[in-house]
Amino acid sequence: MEDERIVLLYWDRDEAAISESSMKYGAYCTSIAQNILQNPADAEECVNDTWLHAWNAMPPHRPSLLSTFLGKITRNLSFDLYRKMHRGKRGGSQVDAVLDELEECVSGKDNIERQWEMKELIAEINQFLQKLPEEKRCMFVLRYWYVDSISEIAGRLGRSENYVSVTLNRIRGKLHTHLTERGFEV
Amino acid sequence: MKKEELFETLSDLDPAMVKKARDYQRSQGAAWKKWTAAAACAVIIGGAVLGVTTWRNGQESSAVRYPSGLKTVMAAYPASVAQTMDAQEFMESDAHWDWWNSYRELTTKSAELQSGMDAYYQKLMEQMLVSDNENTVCSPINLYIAFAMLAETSDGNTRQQILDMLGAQDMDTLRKNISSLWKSNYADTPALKSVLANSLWLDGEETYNDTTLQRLAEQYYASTFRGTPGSEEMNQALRTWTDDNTGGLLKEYTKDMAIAPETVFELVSTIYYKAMWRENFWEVDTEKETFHGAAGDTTVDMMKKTEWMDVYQGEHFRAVSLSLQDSGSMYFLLPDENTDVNELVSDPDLMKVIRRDESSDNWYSPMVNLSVPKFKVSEKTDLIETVRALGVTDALDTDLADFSPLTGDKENLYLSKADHAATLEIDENGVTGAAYTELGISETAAEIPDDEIDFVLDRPFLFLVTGQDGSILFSGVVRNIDGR
Repeated sequence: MEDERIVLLYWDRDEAAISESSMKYGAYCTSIAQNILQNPADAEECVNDTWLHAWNAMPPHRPSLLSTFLGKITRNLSFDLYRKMHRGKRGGSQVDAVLDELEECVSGKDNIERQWEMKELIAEINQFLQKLPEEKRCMFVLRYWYVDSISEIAGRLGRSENYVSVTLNRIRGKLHTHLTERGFEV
Repeated sequence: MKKEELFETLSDLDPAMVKKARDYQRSQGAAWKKWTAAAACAVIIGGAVLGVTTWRNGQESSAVRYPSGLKTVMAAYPASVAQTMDAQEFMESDAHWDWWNSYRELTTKSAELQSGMDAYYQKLMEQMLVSDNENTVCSPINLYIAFAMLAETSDGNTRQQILDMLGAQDMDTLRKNISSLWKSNYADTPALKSVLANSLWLDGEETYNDTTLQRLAEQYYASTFRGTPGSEEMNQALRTWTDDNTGGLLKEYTKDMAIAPETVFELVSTIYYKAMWRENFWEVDTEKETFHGAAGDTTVDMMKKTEWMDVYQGEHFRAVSLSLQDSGSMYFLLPDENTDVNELVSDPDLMKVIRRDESSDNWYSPMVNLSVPKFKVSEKTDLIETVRALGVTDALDTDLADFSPLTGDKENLYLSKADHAATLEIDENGVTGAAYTELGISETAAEIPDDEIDFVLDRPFLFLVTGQDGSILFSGVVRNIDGR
């Protein structure tokens, strides 16, 4: 079914919206949850919660890209669950590795009195990524949005794992510099 | 800010960008969406290539294309992939994914061999690319394959000198190299043509050693033609075969191809290559600008893009590379203002650029305002003196040359002809090139700067085109570009 019609079902409060979403985007959302949680039962729980959250979000929302709208809900729910379960614990999981990499872009401090809005920050990051060559931009998104493993990304792009990690390393360095230069003391 | 906070912030990345990243695996880039217009041009050039494919698969009788007085045995080439699709369809289909996975496996082996070929590449380019005023271009891989066939037909010191020139320890090593090179540089899909072919032209009245003929057919995919050297019939067949296997791009040179009456055998090796940039240039960005050529200024079409790119900073030059879809890269090496482009050819850093040691300090990634002129370079070279300079001398001497593996005890043979022709052209969509090598054996009768840089190729520069395995397919120096 077309995304627009699925969104209309949500707006019409028609429960078919949920089965249609699950049919079309169930696998997509599961892959995101699984990357973050690495546990099929937990992943399934988050994906089921995704439909409920979507039900509550539409209306008022009318997303133009339903896939990433749903994917974003899954990503947030999965990360919340991950944090709940791993409070104080450190495992060698995929998301731990991703977080450690992201740590290179930030100070790690709680800067409550920051001089900028989160909205401005994400706008700046979006702009930074737009200027990257497409392959590098995809590499970044696959790693830090989808939490895909390095080897999976290498396979997808037809590149060596070493190339992918070296490239990601460079992008992180650049992102940090880019943000700092523009006054974002992250 | 804490890392967890950043992770959560990133969930608000531009949704279009997020969606595209997951789609990227199959369609590999928006360049393909823009490909429709360019596909028309691919089809025209592809016409000649399609012809090749049909007779390769034996669907068309060779008698139709070649005169009946000629006995021909056509080699069986790998079939082309997804022939019925256009480039965009293919890129978005599972067929591409399947093909790519198996192709990548094939190229890994050959990639390991490449560093062993660097000495050959470098020596060859020093011989082929230096010039005062003219553009130069050659296909190192094509020459390698042609001379490997010549090594198969020779023996003793004649063979040893050829092995030395190719940097191969012995025949076994050479054969292994050829097998890997062939597999990783033979690709015939709607999106990439990297088509190799070999042929052997024999005198119908002579006898030849079957073992060698068979080896050339099986390991070098050489088609065999037997006829009367010097006859128009054979010359015409030679031109037709070479044109077919070079996409008709070298007709200005092939029209003069001829097999002299005293020829005992000829070896001809070809390559046809057409690849697209992974991310193409936009035609609307192309501007007319001045190219300061060795022979004076001309106005050229300058293609432009601004991106973060990997840049190599050498002592006397700077280089960038542009990735080619499903294949290797094209490297542009611009000498510093006070360095002659001829000096680049023998710069010890040249190989470091294409072997891309990612950890090397010479590589950095600034924002680059890249300007690349559209150009076409073509050249035909008589290789006899080049070959001599590379240490292959016995083959040129009737008293010393030994071609017994093919011709038995026939005496007084020598390498009488060694021609190489190559062409390479680039535009907003990609790279197209072709080359052939013709070898005839006759009897006697006869520092790191700013974060943003301008990389403007508006004066003579050197280029290299590599395959997926790192083989150098084409190399050349552009000194002048015809005005537009």
